Amino acid sequence: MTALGMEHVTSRREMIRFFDGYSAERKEELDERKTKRPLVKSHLLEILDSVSERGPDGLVNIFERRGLGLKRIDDDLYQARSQSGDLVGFLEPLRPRLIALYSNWDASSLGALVRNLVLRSPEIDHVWLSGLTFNVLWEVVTRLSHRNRFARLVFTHDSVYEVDGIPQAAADAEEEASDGEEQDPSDDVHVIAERRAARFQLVDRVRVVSEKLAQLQQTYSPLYAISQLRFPSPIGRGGHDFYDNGKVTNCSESFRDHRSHLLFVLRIYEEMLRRTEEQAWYGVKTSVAVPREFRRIVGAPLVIQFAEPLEPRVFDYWIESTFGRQRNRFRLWGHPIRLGPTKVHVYGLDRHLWHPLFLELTARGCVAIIPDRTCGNTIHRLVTNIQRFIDPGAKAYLGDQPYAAMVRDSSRDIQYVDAE
Amino acid sequence: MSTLSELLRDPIFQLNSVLWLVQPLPSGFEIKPVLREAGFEVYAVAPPLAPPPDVLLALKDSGLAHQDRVLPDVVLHKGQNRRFALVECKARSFGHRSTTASQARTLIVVAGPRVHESLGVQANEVSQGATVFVLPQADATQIEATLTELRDELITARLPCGATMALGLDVQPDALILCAHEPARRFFDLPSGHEPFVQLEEGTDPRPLYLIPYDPDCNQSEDERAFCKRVLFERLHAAVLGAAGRAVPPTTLTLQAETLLNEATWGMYDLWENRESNKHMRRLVRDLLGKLARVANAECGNTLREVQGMGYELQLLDDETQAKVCTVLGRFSCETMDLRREPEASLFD
Repeated sequence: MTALGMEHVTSRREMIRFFDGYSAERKEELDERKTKRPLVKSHLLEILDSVSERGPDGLVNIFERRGLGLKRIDDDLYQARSQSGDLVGFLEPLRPRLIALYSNWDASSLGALVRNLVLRSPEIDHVWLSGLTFNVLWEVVTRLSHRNRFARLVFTHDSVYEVDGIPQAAADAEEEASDGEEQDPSDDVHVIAERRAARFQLVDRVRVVSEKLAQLQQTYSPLYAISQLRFPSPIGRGGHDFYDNGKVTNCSESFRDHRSHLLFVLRIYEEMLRRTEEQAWYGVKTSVAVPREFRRIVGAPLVIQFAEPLEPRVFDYWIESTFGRQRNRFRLWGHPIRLGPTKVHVYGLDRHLWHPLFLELTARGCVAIIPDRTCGNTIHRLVTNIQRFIDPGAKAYLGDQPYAAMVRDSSRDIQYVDAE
Repeated sequence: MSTLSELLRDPIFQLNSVLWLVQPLPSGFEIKPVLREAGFEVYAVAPPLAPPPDVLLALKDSGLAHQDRVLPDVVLHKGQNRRFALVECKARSFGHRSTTASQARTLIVVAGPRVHESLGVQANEVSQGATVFVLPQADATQIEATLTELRDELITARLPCGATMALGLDVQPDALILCAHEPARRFFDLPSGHEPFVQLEEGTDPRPLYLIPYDPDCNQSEDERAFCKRVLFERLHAAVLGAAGRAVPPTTLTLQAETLLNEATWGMYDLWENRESNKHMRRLVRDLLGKLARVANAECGNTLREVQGMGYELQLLDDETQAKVCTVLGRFSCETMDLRREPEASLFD
């Protein structure tokens, strides 16, 4: 079926058949290193509770307001068109708060469309998979895959605040990619561009990576900052490349298998959100025993400890370029209260979701308090960005519990099945 | 900025320190939650507590100065051995004839053997209640003596009494420490009498993020009152900007002082029953909204305006206006406000 055929898809079954056929063709081309058309990609997005509670109309209205027209073609499946009327692909809510946008557009056009959509919508955010989360997903990959399958991991750490010379250089770096997404226009053919920062890929057999990765990470901390991870396809060659901003490229021959992996990871992410919000939400709650009288403070802070303290100069660049600019990588707003050479308090906002967020930022780490109802995605975005731009070896805790343990617990009872 | 000894006397710093001492935190973090490690957690923040009616009658009959009810700053609870601590933060010690002593007498009585009735729990859910004063260590010995005097008076009047003790805050070269004399060390199961709880760094203010930012009724130095007002303003500012950013235009948002104050204080505003204090808080909000209105209206037309009896209304006609209003409101900094000036009463008061 061709792109013209995509216009005529009227059900989930037809969509899966279309993308299955399309994926098989692309896989053949990929094997011959002659990709003629873009691979199938999915963008995983998180929508706020308030939108999902408004039902299908709420979803359609939110996307239409931001220039993505949705037309329902099946239960919980929508055809998605850009503002100019071009067919982008299909949008499917896979979990109550989590949706997938499937498309065969090229990576840069689709990336720009999704980036603009998220930038302009406080109700929509990427699914944020931090290096710490990928480390746990890697453990899952080692359990799922044959030891001789090839694994592919990409590590990205851009020390954008650690700039030699004039402070302006850091500010310029801040402007490059204001939403933290690194564009990789060549990702359809898997060529990783060299950069000044630590960014490289590791391709080897699962058994080899699994034996060596932990040791390598202890030696060289950027290896903690996994920004892409391939789930090898159990159906055939290739696999599904998950990116830290929720993009997933189908490099397998099966869309069905691709969708099954999306569901699997989203179930883990949904559980992570639930646990994060359950533990981290701060508030003064009324006691159940004595309504309207006793109030207690509940919640747990997110604590991030850097492996090495930041130099004062780097700390200053970080604070100035984050809170001195409206468009900043961390998407934060606030007016820092200076408490020392390398300590500030910020009673501010997650500027993407416009929800309150209180931060203590020091050269040694960060404490974040998220008040009740602030979306748990705020925490996962913060952890992802700190690993990527500040310290790849940073350790994170929700209260006294390691963040990685929370991710591990979230993945424990999730079944690996295509059962939706 | 306050000196360390001034900071240790500040009741808002003391209260927030106590709250951080019971937060779940990883080991090796700058704050060591020594009370949480000993098994304590927050049971209630500023709960209104009164002695059972018969005890209150006896207290009245005793002729001792007292209050009919008290609002300890925080009640801590250890589930494992069913202990409750009614914690009150104070800048300094007080004598048994002072007005503070009447509050202390009621606290001591409430924390007595009938504390379960005041807390509304079963008798077998409480093994021991205590009144605990948190204050600078330099004043700890004096307050312990006062508390012993007050307790003796109450026992003589045949009134039920709970244990009394002090937790002192002090400075060592590299840390703030929590000092507990024998009764407090035993009650809180602290391993030693001097527990470092915040690591100090030269030239750096050791205060933690403030969970409770402001209390109009507590006595603070001018510097500390200004700092707390800044934190409150930052939280109010975030509440206003957040509401503007989350809105879906075209819409008109009503910004009411009470709603903003409850959002900024996590609902603590509702607990303050002193009408003058409430007025003071609402004036602070109006002061901030007035400043925000000036900058917003200068650049975005008449978008933020005061409506008699309603608070302020923010009009967002379309996405473009919303983006511009958010940029302008976000650029304003509460640091530019005169934090030492008390807001003036207006016609609406």
